[in-house]
Amino acid sequence: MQVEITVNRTKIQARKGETILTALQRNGIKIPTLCNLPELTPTGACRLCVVEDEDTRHLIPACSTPVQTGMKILTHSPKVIRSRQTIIDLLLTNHPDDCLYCDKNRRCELQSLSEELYIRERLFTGVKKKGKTDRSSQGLVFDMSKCILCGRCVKVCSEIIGVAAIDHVYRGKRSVVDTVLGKGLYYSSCIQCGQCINICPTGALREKSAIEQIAAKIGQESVKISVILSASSVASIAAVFGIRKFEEMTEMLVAALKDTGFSTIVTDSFASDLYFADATSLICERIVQPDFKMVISDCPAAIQWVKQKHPEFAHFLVPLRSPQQITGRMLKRETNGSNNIVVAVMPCIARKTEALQPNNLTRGLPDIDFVVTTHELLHLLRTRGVTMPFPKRCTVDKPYNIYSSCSVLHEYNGGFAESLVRNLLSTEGKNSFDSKYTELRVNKPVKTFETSISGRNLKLVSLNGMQAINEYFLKYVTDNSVHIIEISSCVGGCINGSSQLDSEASISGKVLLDFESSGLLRNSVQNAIVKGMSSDNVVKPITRYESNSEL
Amino acid sequence: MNTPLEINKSKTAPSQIFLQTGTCSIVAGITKTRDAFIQYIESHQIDADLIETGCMGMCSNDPVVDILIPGRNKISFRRVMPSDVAIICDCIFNNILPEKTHILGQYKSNDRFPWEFVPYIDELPFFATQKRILLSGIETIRPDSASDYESLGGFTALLKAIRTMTPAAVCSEIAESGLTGRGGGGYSTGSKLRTVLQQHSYKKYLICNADESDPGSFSGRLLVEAKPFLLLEGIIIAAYASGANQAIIYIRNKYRLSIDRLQRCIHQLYELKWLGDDILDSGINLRISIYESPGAFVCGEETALIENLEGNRGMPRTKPPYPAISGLHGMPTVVNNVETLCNIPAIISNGAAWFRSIGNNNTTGTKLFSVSGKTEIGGVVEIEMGSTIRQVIDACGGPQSHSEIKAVHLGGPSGGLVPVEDFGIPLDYYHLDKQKLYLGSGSFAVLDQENCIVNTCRYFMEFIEGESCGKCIPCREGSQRITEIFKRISNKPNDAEEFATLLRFKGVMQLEQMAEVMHETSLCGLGQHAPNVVTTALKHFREEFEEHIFERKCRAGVCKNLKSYSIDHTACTGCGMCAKRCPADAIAGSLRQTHYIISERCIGCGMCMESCKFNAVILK
Repeated sequence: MQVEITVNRTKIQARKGETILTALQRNGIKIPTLCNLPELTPTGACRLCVVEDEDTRHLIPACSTPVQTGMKILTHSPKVIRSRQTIIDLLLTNHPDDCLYCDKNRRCELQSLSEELYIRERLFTGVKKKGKTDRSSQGLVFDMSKCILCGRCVKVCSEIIGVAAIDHVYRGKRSVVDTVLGKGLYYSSCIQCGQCINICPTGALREKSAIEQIAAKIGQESVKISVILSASSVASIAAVFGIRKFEEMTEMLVAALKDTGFSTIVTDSFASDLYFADATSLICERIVQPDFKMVISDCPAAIQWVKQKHPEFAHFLVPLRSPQQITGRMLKRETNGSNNIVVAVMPCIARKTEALQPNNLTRGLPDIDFVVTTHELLHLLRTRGVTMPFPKRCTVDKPYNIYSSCSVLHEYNGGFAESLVRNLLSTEGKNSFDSKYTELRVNKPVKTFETSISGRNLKLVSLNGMQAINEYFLKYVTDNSVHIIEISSCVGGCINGSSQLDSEASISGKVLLDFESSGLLRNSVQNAIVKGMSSDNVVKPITRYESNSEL
Repeated sequence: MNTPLEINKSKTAPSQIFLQTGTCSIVAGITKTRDAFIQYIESHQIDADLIETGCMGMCSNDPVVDILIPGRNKISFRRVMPSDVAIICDCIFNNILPEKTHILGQYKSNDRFPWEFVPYIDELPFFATQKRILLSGIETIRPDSASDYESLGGFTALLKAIRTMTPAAVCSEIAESGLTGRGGGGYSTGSKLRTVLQQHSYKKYLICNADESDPGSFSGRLLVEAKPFLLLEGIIIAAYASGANQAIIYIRNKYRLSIDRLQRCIHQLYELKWLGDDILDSGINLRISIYESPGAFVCGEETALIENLEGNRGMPRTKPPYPAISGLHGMPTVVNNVETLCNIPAIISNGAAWFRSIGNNNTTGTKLFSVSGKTEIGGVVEIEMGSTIRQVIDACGGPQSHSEIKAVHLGGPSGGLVPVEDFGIPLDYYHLDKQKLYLGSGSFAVLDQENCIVNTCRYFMEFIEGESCGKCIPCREGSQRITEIFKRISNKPNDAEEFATLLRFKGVMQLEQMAEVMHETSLCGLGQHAPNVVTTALKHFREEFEEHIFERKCRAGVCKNLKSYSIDHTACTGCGMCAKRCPADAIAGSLRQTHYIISERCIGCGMCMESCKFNAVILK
């Protein structure tokens, strides 16, 4: 139903029941907000979205007030602007003035708002908040002095992720966002999904950087640094620089990294092939069991969620190493030297935690020494004067240069399930390129697929995003007709990972899909090297954990 | 009208001692007084009953004890300490009037012999000015006795409502009476109940807000302690009117006495089947539970209270939806203050027209005020709406000797300051709104020349700074900044801090703007009304601010850091006492020579002035 409201003396159409803010945004009128996020319930905490009611002259928050017929509002009246400026002034009084050193510099919403509202003078002087910095977590750093208590992270953590690792604690001027008993994120229920970093308007939540440690190693004669590039990181960088070809981008990055001083550069796609080949054989092995059920995921955050929220179903998890860890282990085994450092470039911070898990250590040392996010890689390259498009090209080292299109596809929304199905069907000798499998790629939270493998019926459910996992995991894991549940914590797959670059996810997704459709090898099991390796028992200790409990 | 309650009148002793027991009198020491009475009765073998009643509102006179001996009027004594018990009892039980100092007055009766030269209680100005409806009979009944409450005419309204009226009729009766929310909202109670009644839901809640966590407000506590059954009757009627089947009393965990008494009363009502399933065969179910709140100021705000009841952090929700539509657990919820609910029984039994006759055209009924500060009597008074501030002060015996009242702080942390010129303002929602004042929960602090306005503002802003929930920026950050500005004004300029003077001036210039933005943009009532005290103080007491800022002096002598001491050269004998006592080593001088105060070091504690035997230390 349409409602007519007057905004700045112009009539606009709004839908009944929506908030003023939504109506304004849909009509292209921009008003600032620091706490509102479209998918969350409004908190009304920042009060920046206030608009003036022309009749009563009161200021009303646009984010939480529903539209009413005949409403007359002013979005930028002098009173409104003065209030917004004062609020930003108040925030800046209590903010550490270290923008130049801040991780979020030039990406900070508070910074851009103060610029937008033309704050040129410190209006109020006051005592600055001395917040502690929580460095306990392996993936992220929480600097409470920069927190403006907008509550976005709290809402995301409880409403979308369903973990509620952080909440507001204390009251009045002492109020902060913190974990239970202030013990630190490492000891909390945090699953390291990284969504809070994504939506934090300031630099309060940021990824734990490994750049400095890596930079210290570059250029040392005796040290050999290998880099693992993940397909989604490559695609994200490609999207930002307008390069539409996945392979071209990979070659550029390899060349650039080699110039920078890294010795071996590989992608994790080959390991993905190994992963899928092994997953397929595992399914074929187990499908004969009467109560066959599997929860399959290469997402550390989703695995962690299952382990802490539903430990009773943890034995359904597939004991496979993720492609990152497989590559890391292979690289470490090849060189077998102590001065060999492996760096992985990954789309999210959960991988940082994964690399340090006890079962991913060899003789007490991690297979992957450092994990950097896509962001960090770009910083690393920028510091060393690398610009894109890079003039040189260089191919990935053998055998990592041979990979199927499946291996790239799994990073895309629903691609994981599709890759799995395709590999399973090709072992059956069926045509695995039917368009109906691509239906799994549709952006839906829950997707199901049924087929038959070696005469047995197989039902696969793909849960996409933590919201869907929270809602449906229990339902499907207890459902006897479902055999395989695939879960991933980020909506849209790894390509939308929490530390990806701020570009349209559809573009980076397209980069992957284009590669997928042009690839020669389409299934992991067709990869000749993988075939050769998986017949060999040598590969099993690399791809599989010894037991489920080790996961 | 027959009641299921059997009035159980067991044999009573000829003499009765009424101990007015409330939290206020417990603080004043009534437990020890009580022990002294027990000891006296036992040792002298007097046949007397000790009866615990509620406090009648004269809190500054606590402990108050009323004694009834056969044939004589009940007589009331104030400030009865254990040491006074023997003298008082010796006289009274021998039919002699004791010394005047402890006598408060006597109660009128038809069949007993009055005491000579003792004023009648209801003729005392404190009681004569009041219109006691909620507080009537408070000193005569045992709080947790249903039969005592019934003897005051209790439960008739409940029976009338349930047996003769429909819920809609109860709603319209209350709406017609003009009863408004006494917690500060001022919203019509009748229409609130009706809104909930009109919602279709299998579960509806009624929440009684007894949190009362503003400083200076204690009327609700007194009422619950003295007449818990009145509150429960009000709750049952309101639940009947709104269709609520679950009532929750949200009470502060520190109100132990109230909680104990309420629990006993609720238990009795369940036993009498006036609560539970199918109460009074009417087919209505109602359960009452008590929730002990953690005691945060912001939880007095209804949506924050609901959040807290749901087990969340007490932070206000955005409105709409209002609680009447979607409140506790998403169900329609009425949230009402103790005082509002306590007004309902009287409205039902006496009718809306009777209630409308009390008060003035704008606001009907009475209002409880918690009077504290520089009046002769401090305590709870019940005043007709529309009375002036001056009348309230007069009821409390006027200013204390040597004090000259300069302002009243009305309405707790959300309220504002009323200067003496405006004491003629009628206390009703319309007139106060016009003056941008706020009645709040009825806290009424009287300030005189010894109270510093700047310090008062600072106190309330510090309170807000600590009690804000921290959710919205204007309230959280604004209160911190305003407090800092006040600290700068009332502290001694520190030379180490650069631009201290500049900052001080700049801060004051920002005060008004900051107060306005806080008022306009804060999320809930707490933040919106928080700067009221600052705006009213700036409006009426500007000269006091200017004195603090320009002359660096506090006329009330409250702002310790602004005091400056010096030594009179002619009077100083050089004894060195002051130098010895000074904790800051701020006094220099050799023995038998004139001493000097190093003002940079002085912390303004006043030890030197205290220790000087020759009055040589002068305070400027």
